[in-house]
Amino acid sequence: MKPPAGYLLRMEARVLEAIFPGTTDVPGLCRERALPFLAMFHDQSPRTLRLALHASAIAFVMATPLTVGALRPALLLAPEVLARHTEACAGHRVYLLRQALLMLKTAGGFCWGADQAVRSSMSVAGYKPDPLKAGCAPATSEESGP
Amino acid sequence: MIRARDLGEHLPFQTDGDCEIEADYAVVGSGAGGAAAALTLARAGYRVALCESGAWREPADYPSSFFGALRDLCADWGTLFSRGRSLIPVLQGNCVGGTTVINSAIMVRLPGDVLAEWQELGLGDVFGEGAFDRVQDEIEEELGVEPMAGPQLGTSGELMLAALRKLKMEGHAMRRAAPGCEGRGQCLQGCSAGRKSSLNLQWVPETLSRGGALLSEARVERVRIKDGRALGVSGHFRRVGARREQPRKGSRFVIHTKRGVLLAASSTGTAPLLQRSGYRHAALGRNFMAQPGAGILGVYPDAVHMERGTTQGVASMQLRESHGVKLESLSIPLEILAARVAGAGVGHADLLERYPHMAMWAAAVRAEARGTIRPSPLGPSAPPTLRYEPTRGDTQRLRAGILELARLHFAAGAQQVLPGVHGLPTRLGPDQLDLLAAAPLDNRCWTWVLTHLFGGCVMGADKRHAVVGTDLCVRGVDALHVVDASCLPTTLGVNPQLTIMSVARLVAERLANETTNRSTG
Ligand SMILES: Cc1cc2nc3c(=O)[nH]c(=O)nc-3n(C[C@H](O)[C@H](O)[C@H](O)COP(=O)(O)OP(=O)(O)OC[C@H]3O[C@@H](n4cnc5c(N)ncnc54)[C@H](O)[C@@H]3O)c2cc1C
Repeated sequence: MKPPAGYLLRMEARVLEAIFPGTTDVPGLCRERALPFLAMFHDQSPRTLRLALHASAIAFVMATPLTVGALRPALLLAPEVLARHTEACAGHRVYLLRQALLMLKTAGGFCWGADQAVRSSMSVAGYKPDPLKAGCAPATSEESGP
Repeated sequence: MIRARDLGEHLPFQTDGDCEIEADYAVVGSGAGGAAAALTLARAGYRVALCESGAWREPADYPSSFFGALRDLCADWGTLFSRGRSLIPVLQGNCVGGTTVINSAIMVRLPGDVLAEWQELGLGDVFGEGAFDRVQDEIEEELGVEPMAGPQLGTSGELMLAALRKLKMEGHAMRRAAPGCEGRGQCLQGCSAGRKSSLNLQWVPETLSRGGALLSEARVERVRIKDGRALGVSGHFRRVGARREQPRKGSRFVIHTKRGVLLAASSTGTAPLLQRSGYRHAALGRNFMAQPGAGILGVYPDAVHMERGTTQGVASMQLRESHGVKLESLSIPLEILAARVAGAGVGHADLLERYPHMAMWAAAVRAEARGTIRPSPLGPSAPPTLRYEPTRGDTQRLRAGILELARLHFAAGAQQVLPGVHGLPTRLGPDQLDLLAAAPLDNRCWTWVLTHLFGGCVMGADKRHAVVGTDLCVRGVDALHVVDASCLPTTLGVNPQLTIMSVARLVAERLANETTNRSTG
């Protein structure tokens, strides 16, 4: 599968920004932070997960007739209408739309919840960077402890 | 700690030509069942080849983030969902040590009522009470099982324990295989402090030191069966966590066995593997069972910091007999909170901000539902197809458990609870418990997760219902055995790993004794 086009990533980043707006005390998930995360996500994750994220973002953008009765894509709505749409998607009676939102919240949560700025704003200990290794061998005697 | 140069062979991902190995036994899967069986056979002097589709990870390689855990330690990145009316995520480990690497290390002994049920199913000879007690004692000793205490419990655990006492309910600090647990709240990410006695750190290295071989990133695709006898296994190395430009598929491997093949690829792996190998039995892939669970968050006036302290420290068996529900404290990382809290946007953000004041407690249901597990039509490396749906009765039991947990939260001083149930308000106060008591019984309204899985190739005396007979062989095939959660004939109503390890050890002991007797006889 080819890497997702830049516009698809930018759309997903804007969707996540709408879902994670932040508060005065705790930062949200801004698109500048979401973009590199999404690029990594799409680079490393399996096809099913990538497709699920694309499909969920598209469902979010196109579901406006079901939530706020608007005929334009969510990202073209005025900010306060977009906020209403976002909230309505999460509690919508259509199960698959709720699931799409859950997928977006899960993926966005990985980025938002691991963000050092978010964690320190809540006095939650930060994470060390993840050491990605594709199947490392057992430690050698020099590396392992006694 | 065992050092690499003292170990037997470890063959990680290979690309240079086919790989053939001869062994007495091949064991497929290095989790709770597989590692237990492999070590028992290795201790009895057999040469064991252990095949694991996941990678070898040292605690220093464990990720910190939950995203990293899904990528580096979990099966299919957690993308396996049970399909029914609702989609329920299934979480399992995929690394050397299997799910024991990402689990909470809780060790609960097999309840007497379950053993009695098994004996009624014709398994009394294999699993006598004395034998079970002996192996459970041994395993607890080897893995350093001890009750959690003091700061290990964290504030969330202490609050739950206090609330259980206040409401005069049974409650206890859990016994866990995590000696000297530092309470980092990172069990799901594999415990980089190295305190958890996961089997990649315990029994797999010992198996290697006793001359065993380990093939990691090695997915078994077929059990080789000829003339009613298992002759070995074959498959391909497959790189875990490969980037898109890296090759995923590696060399082919074949293991020729002299004495037998033991399957321990978990309840989602073993039945599909047998099906792909051409084995047929009416009950194969059926009787998939689970103990699905869900949690409820309490919001407290003072900081709780559920991420401090062990991931799971306190439990109650109060509702086990009456409702088939076990109650547990369960801290969730900040990354997961976003998905767990209802809503999205501004109101959601206001709630997320309260994370330091939240405690999550969960209910696991001994569900009556039965499902099916089948291999994916997309090939051996694609997640299997799981059809499973909790029954209305199961949802009723879950609701009863969640209601009890809400009462406990309020008894512990919570101001609100966040039930996460579609159709209910996002937050409930102490005077709104009647809403929770009448919460919808539609599964799609609840946030279930499947972590305790059973069945798919159950054992028992009934030929039509049980794939594995009381002689512990897969019916109709000599020298083929199942030693993981998929052979358990019922759910347990408690955390299953100690039972799975014990069953595997008992089966392997029997095999070792039988072959010894045969060769000396
Ligand atoms: C998040 C979580 C927390 C849990 N906490 C607890 C707890 O605290 N206490 C408790 O008792 N239980 C707990 N459990 C459940 C417990 O860990 C499992 O029930 C148990 O590990 C299952 O053992 P198993 O041998 O059947 O499978 P696993 O331990 O999952 O091992 C199966 C192994 O087989 C490998 N495999 C699969 N297919 C193939 C193949 N084709 N070729 C080669 N290898 C293959 C997998 O990669 C895996 O390593 C938890 C489970 C989860 C998901």
